[in-house]
Order: sequence, then structure tokens, then C-alpha cells
Amino acid sequence: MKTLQILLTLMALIFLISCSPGNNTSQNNQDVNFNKISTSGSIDQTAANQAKEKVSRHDSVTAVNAVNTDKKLIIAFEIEHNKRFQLADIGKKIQKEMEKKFSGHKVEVSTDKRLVFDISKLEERIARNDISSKNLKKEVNRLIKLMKDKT
Amino acid sequence: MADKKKKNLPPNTQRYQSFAKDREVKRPLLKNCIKAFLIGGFICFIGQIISTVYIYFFGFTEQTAGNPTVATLIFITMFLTGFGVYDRIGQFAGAGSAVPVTGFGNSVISAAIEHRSEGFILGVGGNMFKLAGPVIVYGVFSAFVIALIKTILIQWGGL
Repeated sequence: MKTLQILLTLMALIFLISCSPGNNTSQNNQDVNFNKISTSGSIDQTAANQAKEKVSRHDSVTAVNAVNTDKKLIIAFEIEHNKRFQLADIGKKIQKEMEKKFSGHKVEVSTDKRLVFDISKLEERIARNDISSKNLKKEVNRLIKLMKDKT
Repeated sequence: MADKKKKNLPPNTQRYQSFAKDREVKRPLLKNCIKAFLIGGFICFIGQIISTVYIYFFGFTEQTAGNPTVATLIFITMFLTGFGVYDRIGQFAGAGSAVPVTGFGNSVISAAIEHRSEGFILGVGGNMFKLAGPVIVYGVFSAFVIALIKTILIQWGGL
């Protein structure tokens, strides 16, 4: 009986502690991890850069990567770990916001680690002028397919 | 309900039961819980490592990495069960080793090993899901009930 009481108190304690809102999280959000790709290269990345700036203004976002072709824009971002319960909601919100802002592009938003990783690699290649616009289109289409993949 | 039953027992039995209860070895509930928590957590930690490896090195996404991760964990459990290591882990950790998917794998594989001598069809095939069968049946059934509730809430509740 006593152990049960101890257990219950412990559980209640853990529950209360884990649910209290963190106060040390980046409030002014200056440590969002993103770098703009120079627009001097052969492939125009202004839409991606604007999207990055816009997404990074959200409080919970910690890193954002984006790449665009002339018709498509793909964005992947990471959020604070304690906000991961609202991952789907935040993703939808940002997707809507981006669709409104970049109505000329087909926008795809993802929070998947794999996409963050792949898009940042793609960004590097664009920055190094290591990729032709045809290959970029192919690569972006592949990533969009990966986003939609469920199984 | 147990108390009601006890009241109907003859006085001798009741006296014996209270006598035995005082001398019973107490279960170390808190210790067991902590053990289960730690070992169960460790199994999940290994699963997380495998999943991360699949994401970073094999081109899976977070969505798709789940299936190969489960398969790998069950594959590892197969060896651990075959070599008799998982039994020891189970003795030590209890529910901590039974609740994760490795426990499910262990229940299937150990049953298959145990009944091998009775032949492959009636032995292995017939007994493999003796322990895991209920898990599948009630898992599917509860999934069905929850899907029903969700459908009702969305269709008529306007959620």
C-alpha cells in the first residue's frame, strides 16, 4: 500500500514537472539555425530565402531549410523538443501560411528529420553551383515524393 | 469482489488465509517498477538508435523508418530468445521486457521453439500464436472500436 502511494506521488510529480512550461526557451528566437543561399548563383533562390525568414519567426522553430525551383518550394523545419506534441498542428499552420504567401509556387512543408537533412545538403550543392536546374527539379520532385511516402 | 468471496469461506479457511498473508514474502513493487522502467526504456532507446540509423544512412523518412526498425528489433529478439538471454532479461525486468515489441516477438519465437518437437504443422504452426494470438485479436478489436468512436465523433460530433 505504501509503495503504491509512493509510486502515485512520484507519477504525479513527474507529470507536473514535465507539463510545466519551459521558461528558458528561445523567446526572441535569435538562435534559429538557417543560412540564406546567395542569389548570385544560376538558380534563383529568393523564394526559399524569404520562406526561411518567415518560418524562422515562429517561436518554436529551431532550424529551417528550404529550396525552390521556379514552380515548387519545399521547406523542412525542426521545432523544440517539448513542442513535438503539436508537431502536426504547427506543420499545418506553416503550410497554410506559406501557401498564402507563395501562391505562385506549389509549397510542400515537412518536419521530417530526413527531409531537413536532404534539403540542407541540396542547399549546399546549390550554393556551390554544383547542380543544374534540371537536376534540381528532379531532386525536388524526389523529395516531394519522399514527403508523401507513408510506408 | 475478492472480499465478498472471502466472507463466504468457512472460518478455518479465513483464519488460515490471514495467517498466510502475514507470512507471505512481500513483492518489491517499487523496485520492480523501476527495473521495468529502466529496461523497457533501454529497449526503446535501442529502437530509437536503429530508427535514426535507418533515417540517416538508408534513406528512410521518420514516417517510413518504423517498419524496418520493428523488424530489426524482432530479429535481434529472435537471437536473444534462441540463446536464452531474453528469458533472463524477462526475469529481471518483467513488464519492461514484455510490453515493447520485443516481448511480442519473444512470445511468438519461444512458443515456436518449444513446440518444435511436435512437428512443423501441428507443433510450430499450431502453437506459435498461442500467446501472441490474444494480443493480435484484442489489438485489432480495440483498433476497430477506436476507429468506430472516431468515425462517430467526426461524422456526428463535428470534430
